[in-house]
Amino acid sequence: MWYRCIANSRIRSIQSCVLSEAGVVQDAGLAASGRRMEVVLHNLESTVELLAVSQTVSVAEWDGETVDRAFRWAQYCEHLHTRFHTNPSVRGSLETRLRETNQLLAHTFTGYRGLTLSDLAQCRHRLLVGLLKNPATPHPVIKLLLGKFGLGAEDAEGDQHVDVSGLSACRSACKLLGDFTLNRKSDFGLSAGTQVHCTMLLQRIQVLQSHPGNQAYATKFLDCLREDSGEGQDSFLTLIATALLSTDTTSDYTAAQDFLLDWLEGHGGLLHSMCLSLPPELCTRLSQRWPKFRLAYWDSLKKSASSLVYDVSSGLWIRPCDNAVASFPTLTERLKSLWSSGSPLKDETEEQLVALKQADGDFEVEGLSVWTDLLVQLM
Amino acid sequence: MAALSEIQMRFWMDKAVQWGLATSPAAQQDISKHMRSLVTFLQQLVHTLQTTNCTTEAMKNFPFVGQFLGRLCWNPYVTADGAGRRLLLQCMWLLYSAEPQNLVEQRANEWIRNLLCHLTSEDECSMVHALEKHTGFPPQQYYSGSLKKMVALLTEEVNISHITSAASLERCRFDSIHSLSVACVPLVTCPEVGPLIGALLKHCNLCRCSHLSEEFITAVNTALLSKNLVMEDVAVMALWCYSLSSLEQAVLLLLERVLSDPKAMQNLETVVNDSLLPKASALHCHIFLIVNDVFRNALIAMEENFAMRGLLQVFTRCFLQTHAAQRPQERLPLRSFFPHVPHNLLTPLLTAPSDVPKHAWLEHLSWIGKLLEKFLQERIQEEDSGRGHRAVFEVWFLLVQCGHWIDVAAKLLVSVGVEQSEPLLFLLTFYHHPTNRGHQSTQHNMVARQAWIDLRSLFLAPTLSAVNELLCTMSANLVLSLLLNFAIFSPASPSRVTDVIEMVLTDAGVRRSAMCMLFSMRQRLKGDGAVNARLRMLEDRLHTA
Repeated sequence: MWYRCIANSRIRSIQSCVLSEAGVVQDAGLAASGRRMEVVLHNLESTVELLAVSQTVSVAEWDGETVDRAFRWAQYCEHLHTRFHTNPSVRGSLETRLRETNQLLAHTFTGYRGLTLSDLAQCRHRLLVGLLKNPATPHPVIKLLLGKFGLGAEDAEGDQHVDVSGLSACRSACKLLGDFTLNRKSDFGLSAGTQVHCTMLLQRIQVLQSHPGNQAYATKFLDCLREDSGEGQDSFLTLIATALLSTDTTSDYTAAQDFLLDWLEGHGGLLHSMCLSLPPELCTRLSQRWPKFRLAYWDSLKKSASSLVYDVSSGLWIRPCDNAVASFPTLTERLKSLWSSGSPLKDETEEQLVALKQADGDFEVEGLSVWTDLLVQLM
Repeated sequence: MAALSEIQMRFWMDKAVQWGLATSPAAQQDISKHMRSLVTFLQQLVHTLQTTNCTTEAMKNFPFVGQFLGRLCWNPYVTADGAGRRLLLQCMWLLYSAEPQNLVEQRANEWIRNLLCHLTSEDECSMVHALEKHTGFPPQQYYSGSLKKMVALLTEEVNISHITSAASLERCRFDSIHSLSVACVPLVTCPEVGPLIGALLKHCNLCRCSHLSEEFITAVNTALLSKNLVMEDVAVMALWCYSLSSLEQAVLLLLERVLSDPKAMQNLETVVNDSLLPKASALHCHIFLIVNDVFRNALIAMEENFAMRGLLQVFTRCFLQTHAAQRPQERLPLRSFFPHVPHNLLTPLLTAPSDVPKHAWLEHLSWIGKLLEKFLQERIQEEDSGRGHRAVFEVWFLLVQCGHWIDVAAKLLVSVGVEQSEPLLFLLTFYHHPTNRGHQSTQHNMVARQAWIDLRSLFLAPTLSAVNELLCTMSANLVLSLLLNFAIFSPASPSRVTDVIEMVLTDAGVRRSAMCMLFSMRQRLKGDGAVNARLRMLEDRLHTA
């Protein structure tokens, strides 16, 4: 049980770190060079270890004072994130140290989930949730925390913990207002919540873009976002689509939108499922706004149409077993939406359909060419 | 506080079940109607839990308490409300056992931890959760930022839909204004939501087709009066235009402040202007009329109260200043603000003394006195005595509003001769004794004249007289105002003035009234060095004695 020994000794050293005061936050200001940087990295490592310990049984030894210190350390890490997350060189060092620490901790604690740089922004929150979810957290400690949230401790001390009351107030308010839809036609009935989500997304990309050397980091951000959306893939796709269509009058997000589209192109599968699952009106709007999307959309429609097979007995165009293909009625609906958007999209669609029909032999009889039949539906 | 009954508990439990997650407008509407009594109930619950020994006992007495609190914590409409949220957290704190003794208490602890997690985090594996996690802010900052953006979007929407509806004269298209106002009820004290609250009020003021929920108006007004909500002036005025009772409460609050706090008299002008009522009155004639109706009733109830008269005078002055500062094309004629008084009296009284050259003051006041006398003569001859009384009252009310001319008259009386004193004494007497109650007007006139003569000799010659006897008559205020004007403006030496004041102002009640008058005179006369020194000296005297 050698690893147990290591674990215990590590935990002891980490516990001792909890007992020392949080490093003076101003340290971070001078962190960019030399020895100071080493101090910052050491502090980061200790805090990450601390967060890991907060999820183990060792937390049973903590008391109110220990928890206070832990929150101060967590706040220190949030500060590190705020200061350096857009600075590629310091960020690089932080990420490297995070990776190394994560690896070590994964050896020590089974089932350990590594911390990413963006997790650092929410250190105190993670600590709080970790303590709440850990059955080993002493009851008096939880009661103490709860007392600080509930009994109106709005002084500096309350500020250093997580302001549960304020957080829950803002979340509830967002829930109440988020469902209201804006009636403006340009926003096609999106809820205020969705609109705000897309602004948050674009702003995040914009912040990262405003500093050089953040391209890969921004890509990683979108990858993580997609991954963590889990079962909410449809809402993720709607979010991307809304962000691409956003016409915020107060800020110019064109660069961020370009970046988003490039990222989509790099994930062909995702772009394809967007073309299949988003409502026709949304796809039409995207096609109007973004030529790149138009091409992808048209490709997807063409692919679906060419894979349809005519069933003579029922007189219908049938989908093959492949589910990643749109049905004949869906295709008609999507094309109708493109058609009704006026020039130049209508003309372009018509030209392409006529060309495809001609290439198929230019038949006027039903059931021979899917293009002929689609054109009939549109005329 | 009364103990909780089984029936109450059952009622609120049923409500919590019925409300669910408060997603429908109907559920929100129902919660908004019950919110205040729910808060009272939660307070009772907190109190009961405080007096319960342990969680096991609490669970035995209220088996539903866990489910009840849990449901409320999942209801954003309840958790958005500041008081509701605090009480919920307090209940949870009380139910959490620091040293659980049995399985029940352990379960309760576990359940409270889960509830806290729910209150602070999104469900994992959702787009919202992922976005919150990766945008690089602590959750509190993320949600507060999101809320601000949401409010900005909805505010813009409310503003735009007003513009379109006014331009097209169609029914307002933003038909969810009412539901939006319902959703905002628990949010009125949330600083981020302020702009939306203001937009809703302004919208409904300009577009009559949509309505705000009654609970919304009550919540906004309560928050505003308790200074838990800061709104731009236009929004406050929109609230007053929309809700008469909100306006009345604002006026009553001002009255209460001025009448209950002697310090308020020292900076009355600031207090009055801060109430925003003069500005609102200048912009909206009907607000002016309503405010004055409240003042009128208050004045009838406390005719002799000097602070009340001071308030009315300062309010009118502030109103006239704001009115004059408006652009001429936007300004309503003053006549519409004073519909009950004859025009010939209105013009000289509403003119500010500063707009009349000093040497013409006496002439101006004589003119006012003559107009007034004629007016009163005519009213006496009128057949319908009820109507006549009302008309006299309105003119007197105007005189109180324009009390600045009474101040001037009292000041001039210090220096004028006997023949010029007539109209001035008449104005002063009418100001202090508008009714001929007990047919004492002849007596009042005599007292005024006697007081004036006595005071003149008192200040100008070293003889003593019985002014303090006069101060005990029904004309105390009149005599006092003459006395103070003499004390400030007469050429008598400071020591003489002090002597007189000490001799005459022996009664504590009279001293208090004198202090009050001095405060208001100081406001009016600030800037004049010699006068200021006199004022300070008098105040010191009154204080130390």
